[in-house]
Amino acid sequence: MSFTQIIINSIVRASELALLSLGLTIVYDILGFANFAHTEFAVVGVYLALFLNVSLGLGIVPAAIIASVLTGIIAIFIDRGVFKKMRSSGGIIVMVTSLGVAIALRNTVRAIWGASARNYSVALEKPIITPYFRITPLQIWIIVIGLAAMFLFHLLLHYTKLGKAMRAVSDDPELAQASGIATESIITYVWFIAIGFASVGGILIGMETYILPYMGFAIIVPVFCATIMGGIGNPYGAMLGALVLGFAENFGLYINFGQVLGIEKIFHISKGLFIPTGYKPAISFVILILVLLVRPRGILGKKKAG
Amino acid sequence: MAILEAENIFAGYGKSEILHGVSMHLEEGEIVTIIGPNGAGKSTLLKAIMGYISIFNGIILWKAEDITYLRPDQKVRRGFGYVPQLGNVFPSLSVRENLEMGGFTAGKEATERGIQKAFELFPVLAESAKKKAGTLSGGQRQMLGMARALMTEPQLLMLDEPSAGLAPKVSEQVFESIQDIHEKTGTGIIIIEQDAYHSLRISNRGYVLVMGQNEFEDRADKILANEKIREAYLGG
Repeated sequence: MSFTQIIINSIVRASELALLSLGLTIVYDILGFANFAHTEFAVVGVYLALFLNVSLGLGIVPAAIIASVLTGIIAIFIDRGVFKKMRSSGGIIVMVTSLGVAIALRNTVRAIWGASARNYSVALEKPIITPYFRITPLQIWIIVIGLAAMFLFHLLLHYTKLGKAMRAVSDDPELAQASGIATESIITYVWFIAIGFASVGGILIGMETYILPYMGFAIIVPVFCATIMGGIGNPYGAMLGALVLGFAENFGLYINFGQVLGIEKIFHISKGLFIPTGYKPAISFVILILVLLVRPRGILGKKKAG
Repeated sequence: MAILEAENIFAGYGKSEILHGVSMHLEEGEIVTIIGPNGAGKSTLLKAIMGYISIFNGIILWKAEDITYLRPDQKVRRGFGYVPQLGNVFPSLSVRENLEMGGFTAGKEATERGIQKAFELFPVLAESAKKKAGTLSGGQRQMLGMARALMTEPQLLMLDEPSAGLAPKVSEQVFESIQDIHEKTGTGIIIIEQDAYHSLRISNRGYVLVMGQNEFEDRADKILANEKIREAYLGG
């Protein structure tokens, strides 16, 4: 595989991860807990889009938009019905609650749609092939949507009243209330935005590969790694973490460690020493550990006041 | 007529009661100082009035309306302003954004006018409008905190130890600004102070709280002249 091809694959992966880790990080920032149900919410969006697209025959674009909006609303209801009651008990309790919600969501999806792999009904598009790399139109869309989401998020945080209020609540929820900001209504928006983005990310992954009830469980590790690596609670950290992880996962498999470490000759390894593909998920962990060793709060981690 | 009346307030954190039946009131446009030793429940009283902690018993009236169980943000909409002792600014927001947040419940134009007023009242804030509030000095933060609370043009401004941790000169400036604010806006002010000389000097009345109960109340000048109180609570 060519060097440019690995870069393209890395950026595609980073865009998908960014869409998911952005939401995870803002929920952590505003609500103060690591939401283990985050990627399962995304899967709900994936299957709602499948229903709209395959069962009702909608185009994939309107199906994805409607499904993501609906999933955002479902997240708000689950917050009101489940998480809200736990909020006063502290972050750990809410985190454990989210594990329960994750299991419930995953199995509800499986009970409704079954455990076998599914696909959206989208026409296969010819990849664009150049001497240096090949890229599918879908992959271009993933990159464009990922970049657009990050840019929109930046605009939201710095140029809208809602975004500034989100930052204010993140800084100091009590002072935010003293400024007349109803924190519960900010929390509602945060859920909608976080899970809406996650659903879009999930649907894009589903389009690129296939759809399974367990796909949320499969992606949770890299999403958490990207989020923590960037500095959990910091949206720009989540974006950066996704980028680092996207590159690490893809480049990690093509590094000839025999050559890098200079042990090829000693052990007479003729084919080179590569990380086996099966160990790809481990790359996220290794990178995460390395980053946290150097910067315990993550790359862009901020010190919480007080 | 009293605009704020807190009657027989029992309140605390979780299940532990800190206020055991405190009463106080504030006349329109009045400055009142609450003094008392550490742990007397002064900050707790402000938090109870603002709506941050659970009130077990008692009633708080605002312009004759029962607001005992309203949330802080609802009280802000009714004309309350509050500057906590710690965390009186949003550190990662710019000075300007802090003021914008203060005007969260006001309209766009009112916010813009409020920011201009704040810059006139505190020129130092205008100079550092784009700086992050976290980089300001303690005195500047206190000013920004007050300016933020004033954005809604409150009729009640509650200040929790505005001079805490400030150098004597800076703390003097803060009290000057409080007086200035009072003259320009006519808002009622409740001040909590550990070192209450300055504060009582600009106040109409004062309360002494001890162990979560009312110990004493009088006109501010009389408290300052009272030998016993001076010895016990004002450091002689």
